[in-house]
Amino acid sequence: MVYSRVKKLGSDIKEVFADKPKKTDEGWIIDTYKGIIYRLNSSYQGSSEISSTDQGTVYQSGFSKRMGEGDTVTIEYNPTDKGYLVDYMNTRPASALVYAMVAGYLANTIGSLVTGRPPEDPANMLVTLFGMSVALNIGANRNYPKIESARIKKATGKLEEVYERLKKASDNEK
Amino acid sequence: MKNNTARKSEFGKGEKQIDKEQFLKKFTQLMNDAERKYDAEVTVLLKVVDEAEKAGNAENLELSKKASDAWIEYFEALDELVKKTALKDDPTAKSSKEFVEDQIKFFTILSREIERKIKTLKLTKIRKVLEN
Repeated sequence: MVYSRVKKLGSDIKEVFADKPKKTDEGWIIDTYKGIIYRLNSSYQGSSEISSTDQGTVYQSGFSKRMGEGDTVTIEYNPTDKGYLVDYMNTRPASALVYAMVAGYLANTIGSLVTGRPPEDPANMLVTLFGMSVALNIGANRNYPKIESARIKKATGKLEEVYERLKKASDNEK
Repeated sequence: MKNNTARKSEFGKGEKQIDKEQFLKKFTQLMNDAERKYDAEVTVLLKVVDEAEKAGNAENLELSKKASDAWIEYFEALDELVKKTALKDDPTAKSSKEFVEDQIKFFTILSREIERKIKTLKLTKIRKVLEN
């Protein structure tokens, strides 16, 4: 299954898939590989064959960072082309991760006003973010909570080791 | 991070030094950095998978699978940490859980598909040897 990103402008993404989208009872499954499990909902208008341009709403996505529920997807199918061009028109103002985390932080702050709990309590979203920052070596600000977990450290060490080899392999290919 | 008291005192250190507006600004910046860096790391992985598929390089596919499996291990560890530190009334718990679960789902599919590709490559190689 070959996949190539042909365009990424802002939040719009166009991709080409070698495999034809599959029709199921639940709608179209565009791809189940490399993080994309997009299914168009049953309100999808079209026959059992993809026509030149079909549009639907994503109701299931395996990788919310790139496309999530409620996003509009247009399939542009050109049988003379080498693949199936999928034009994602992401309607969300911010990417899922940032959006969810800002919302989470604000909810926590507002929640603390209601419950009386100090806002400095590290909420789960903060723990998630700082756990991410440890793995990505971003270096969380010293004013923020530290992540102290042996399992996280072990998993992060493994990631670093594999990525070092992965990047070398990628450089050698070039 | 063993108990709430420890977490409070750790986080509380900076409370007097930064106001909420400043904190939100820094926090948003950190989130953007985390997402950009994460996106870049995933892109590196997917690119290696793509190149290895095109070149029929089973070794690099094996390496990519290890990276994908390492991400699964990492997110499972993060999931455990989030669960451990969860406060009953935390409104962000759901988003955190969903985010982590999405990533685990993604890398599980990726690992499975890479494994399938490796098996296909091996079979093709055996078939070619037998034909010759």
